[in-house]
Amino acid sequence: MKNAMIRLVGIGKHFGEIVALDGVSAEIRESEFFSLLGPSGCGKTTLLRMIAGFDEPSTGEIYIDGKSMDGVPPNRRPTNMVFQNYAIFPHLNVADNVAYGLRAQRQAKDEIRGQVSETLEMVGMAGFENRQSHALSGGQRQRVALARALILKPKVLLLDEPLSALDRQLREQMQTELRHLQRAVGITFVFVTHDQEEALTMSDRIAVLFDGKVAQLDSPIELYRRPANKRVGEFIGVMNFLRANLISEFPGGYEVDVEGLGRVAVSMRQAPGGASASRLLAGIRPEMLTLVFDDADSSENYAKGEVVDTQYLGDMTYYEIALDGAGKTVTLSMRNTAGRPILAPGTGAKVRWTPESVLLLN
Amino acid sequence: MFAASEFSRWRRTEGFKGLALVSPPFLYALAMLAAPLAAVVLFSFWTQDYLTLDRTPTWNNYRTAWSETIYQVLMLRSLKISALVTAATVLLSFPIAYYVSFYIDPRRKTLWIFLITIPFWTSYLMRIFLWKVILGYNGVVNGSLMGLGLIEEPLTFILYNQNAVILTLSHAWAPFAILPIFVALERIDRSLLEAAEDLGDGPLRRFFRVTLPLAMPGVLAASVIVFIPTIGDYVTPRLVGGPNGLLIANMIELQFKKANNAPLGSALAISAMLIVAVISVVFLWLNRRYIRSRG
Repeated sequence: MKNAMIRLVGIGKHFGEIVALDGVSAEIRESEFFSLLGPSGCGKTTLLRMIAGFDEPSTGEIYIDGKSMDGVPPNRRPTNMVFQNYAIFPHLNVADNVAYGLRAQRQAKDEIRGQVSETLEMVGMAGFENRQSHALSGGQRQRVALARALILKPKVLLLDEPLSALDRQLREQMQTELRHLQRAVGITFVFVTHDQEEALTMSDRIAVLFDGKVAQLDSPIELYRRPANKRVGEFIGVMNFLRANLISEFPGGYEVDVEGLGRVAVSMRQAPGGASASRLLAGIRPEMLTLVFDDADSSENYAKGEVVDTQYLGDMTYYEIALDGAGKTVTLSMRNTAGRPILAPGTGAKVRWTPESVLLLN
Repeated sequence: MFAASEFSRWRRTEGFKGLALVSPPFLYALAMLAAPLAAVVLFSFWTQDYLTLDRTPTWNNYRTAWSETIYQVLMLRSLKISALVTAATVLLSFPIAYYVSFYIDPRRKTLWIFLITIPFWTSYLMRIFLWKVILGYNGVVNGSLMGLGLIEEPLTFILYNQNAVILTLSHAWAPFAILPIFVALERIDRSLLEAAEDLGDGPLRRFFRVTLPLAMPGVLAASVIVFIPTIGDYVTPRLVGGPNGLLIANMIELQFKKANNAPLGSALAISAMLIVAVISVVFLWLNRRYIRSRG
């Protein structure tokens, strides 16, 4: 286990009556790509600004590399930030923008020039030294903002939704590049985003924030496979929720009756919140449900229903299926492999599932 | 017939509408500004011969204006005082504009700007007289200082000299400097200031490396706005300047009136205008450079 680079201890922040953050505690490890994920207004940007030093927490304490950051101004913190709008200095060219922080440290001119071109090369902007900042595209601005922060070799790089202003193609390219860059430099990245897909593809670990609280802190795989509650499950990817009733508890799990699916034995591992609540929900991902085209299939766990709607996406097909005995439809996704038919709405459907893919949520 | 239809078609074009809109003020400016200016230019090449004008073109007035010591001294003094007034006004206005832009609740900024203009609802002459009351031999400043026992004799260096001219003019032109500087400061993206801080700058270094360079268009605009009219002012130096505080504008007035030498007055006026024009062009060029680098 790597050491903690940032320790957040009971961070709270309120602006008058409004509570932006409510007792957030977390540890961000050294050399980790850590994402703060949540809908707008969940407090993720406020938290990032506190780590940078632009805002002070109302309660709690922030430690970076073991030192308390209480009362330490942004210019004395071992963090650098890539702003959402990049904040490129309009009166300076690319080289002067990138060299800004080094100039503050009063380094020798030749030394600075060397480091600037090295860093620009690292972010794929070699040869742009004398370009005026207003002549840069969105992607180039972002690279300059990255270079300007990375050249100072901070212990932590903070990124405030840096990809949200880019178009889709460039955004996907930058996701890969950022990930590679992070591995290459080995600096701890704290990345704020509202885009769950972005967080899943890039991060080592993700903290999901709702209403100023950490709803779940886990690796992308755990977060997707075992969301802590319904809200996290909904926010990350697509998840079907079916009503469930507890029948009995057995060593290592619960037996429940799920609408549309019937009796399911769910292991403890698949029930992160236990089964104490009166209203239980069974959660299952669309890709964990499979259409069975072979009538002779004799697998045990299947449900019958009818196709309500078909969405053809090329590589995938999404079906809305009304299961017999279920109050609402479920979403199911199938990969379009060779020879696999596409079912039209109105057709009867046989849906297979496995007990391991059913989650019990409160 | 043909011409009439052509005219009625032309009357419907955008060009005609624009011309119709701009004509009244254009004609007004022509009559009130361009014509007198042309007359002054013309006069400057003539010669006053007691009660008659000698209309033979000559450079003699300009030769006198540029070579005689009295005019050189007055011109240089005018330039010096205008430069000092400009510097003082901008230096005093910047903190006010900065305070309103950075420390006032955004909803109250308009109110503050409005309040700043209130002293300027009073007539300019009235304000000059008030400065005389404040700075005079038995004025507010001397009265208070003597009352407090800080001085024995009234201070005399505060009125009827160049200091008084600078003080009065700086106060008079302050709002015209505060506004453009305020606008320039308002346009600065606050995340740039955070970025500077994040990259290691303390408040002072950040000010000189980001805030001030980005506010320069406003500072330069303020300088031009204050500098140009100050050079031509002759009321303030007459009222508070004393014998050594008189400026080139007072000399121009003297030539036109008491000395009855309108041609020499014209040559002095045109010379002053040319010098101001050259200085202003330099400022505008600097300003354009700043604006261009901002994109």
